[in-house]
Amino acid sequence: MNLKNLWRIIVIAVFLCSAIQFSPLVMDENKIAPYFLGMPFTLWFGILISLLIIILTAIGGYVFSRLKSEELKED
Amino acid sequence: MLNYLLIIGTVYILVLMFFSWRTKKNIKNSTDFMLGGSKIGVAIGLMTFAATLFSTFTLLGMPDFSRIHGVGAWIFLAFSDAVMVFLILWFGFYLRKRVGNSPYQGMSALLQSCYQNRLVGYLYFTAVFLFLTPYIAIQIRGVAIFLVSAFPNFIPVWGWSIGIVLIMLIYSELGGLKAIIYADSLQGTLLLIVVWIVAFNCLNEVGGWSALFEEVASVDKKLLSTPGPTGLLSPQFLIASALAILMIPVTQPQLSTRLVIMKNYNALKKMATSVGFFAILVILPTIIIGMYGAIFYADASTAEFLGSVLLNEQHEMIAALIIIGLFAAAMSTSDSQLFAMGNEIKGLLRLKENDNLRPIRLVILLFAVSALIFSLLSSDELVLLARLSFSGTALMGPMILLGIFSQKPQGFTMIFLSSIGLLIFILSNLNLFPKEIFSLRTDLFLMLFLGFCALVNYYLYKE
Repeated sequence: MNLKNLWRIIVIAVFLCSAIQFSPLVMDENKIAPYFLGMPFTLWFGILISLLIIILTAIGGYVFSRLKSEELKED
Repeated sequence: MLNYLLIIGTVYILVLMFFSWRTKKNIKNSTDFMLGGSKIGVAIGLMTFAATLFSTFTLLGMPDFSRIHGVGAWIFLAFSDAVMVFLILWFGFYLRKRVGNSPYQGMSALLQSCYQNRLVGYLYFTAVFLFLTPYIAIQIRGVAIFLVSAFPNFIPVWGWSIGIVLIMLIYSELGGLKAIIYADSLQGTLLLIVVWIVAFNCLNEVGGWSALFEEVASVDKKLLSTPGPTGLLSPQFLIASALAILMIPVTQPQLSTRLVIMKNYNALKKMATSVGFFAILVILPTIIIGMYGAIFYADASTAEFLGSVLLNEQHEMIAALIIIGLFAAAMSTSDSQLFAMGNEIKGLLRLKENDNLRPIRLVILLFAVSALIFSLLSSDELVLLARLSFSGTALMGPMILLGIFSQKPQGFTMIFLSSIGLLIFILSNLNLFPKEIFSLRTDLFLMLFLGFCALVNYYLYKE
């Protein structure tokens, strides 16, 4: 897979995470269960998805800098 | 506590003086003063970005916000910050490319160059001046009301506020941006330590992690989900907040400056990821403190809750450390903002390397005085004031992104639409315009509308 497609997949994944976070599935009013590690659903799911986006940022940073390596030589 | 405060305070001031002395001797021209030499590595970059982003708003505002509105506060700030750091990868690259090797004169001047139009710089500066004022005011007011709780019947809020503003002005005047960046590093570390100590004490008091949420459920189950007991954290509110926070590095000059002055893109991308992890580490304990507050201080005022949890319940040394930590947080964020405003004016007035810095200093002073006045008149709802600041500046986001990403000038349409959007937003906040447009919150509607217009504008000019 070339770097451009990989970068696109990462961007789509971040959009997808955002869509899921704000979807009625997650933002259902007063949804507390299921609990995980003692935390209510809204909190543990929020932490999980935030961590996922930060990991995507780490991978995305690597992919993007490789993708733009020619332009970054002047940096 | 006073003894601890004097000792820690003296050490803190001595460290600041050392930073100031060390950086002052390396300042040779106005660019060194305003941009700190522009060679910031990952560690210092992380600390200065994080310290500028997380301020009294985080340490004082977020516990109070989650105490009232529940765990949805996590989505409001931490999730939004995670998406924001992803945007930094992309925006940081194009911003640095646009700036190139020329000295960065601020976003106002850069936009003037992108659009080949002077008006766009003035529009951006106006928006930033108007909406960064409440953000600085939060820092001043937050620390001032906290100090009144710590030392009741000693100095009134306005006295503390004036003192804080004076110290901010003196420090930024002495050492330039590099001194502020070093102070940010100190503040970032202090903030992280302090907030976790308080959170651990709260967890100990309540009987552990699971017990915390069980107790909260027994007080009010609505605190454990969205939209929270008051119904504020609705999907619309959270989406609009996420968009506003997403735009912070794009629209707020103190943060866009930090993207430009990083040593290289490699350092910038590592900094972005690190800020994401730092955000999680800083915001999680504020939720814990907020949940603890919901159990034991459900009906207390903001000042009573913060005074009790952050001062009265802590060991005297920790309480003193918190006061200094808060003061440092307020100072680093406000100094960065004051300084960024100075750089914007430098760009707008097209001042050269060796020109007199008096106009910049005058604007910094005017900005600080406006923030001081606002802080004396504003409410104690620090998070909502911060959100107002984020939303107001976010309206400039589509226009900035369009200018930065385009290869050629993009005409006048987006400048016109952004100024109308800004006017509507101001009128809406003054209750002179409806709070909703087509069933959408006015801020959300404006952000989406301007974003759509920027896209259309881009494709029309491309062809």
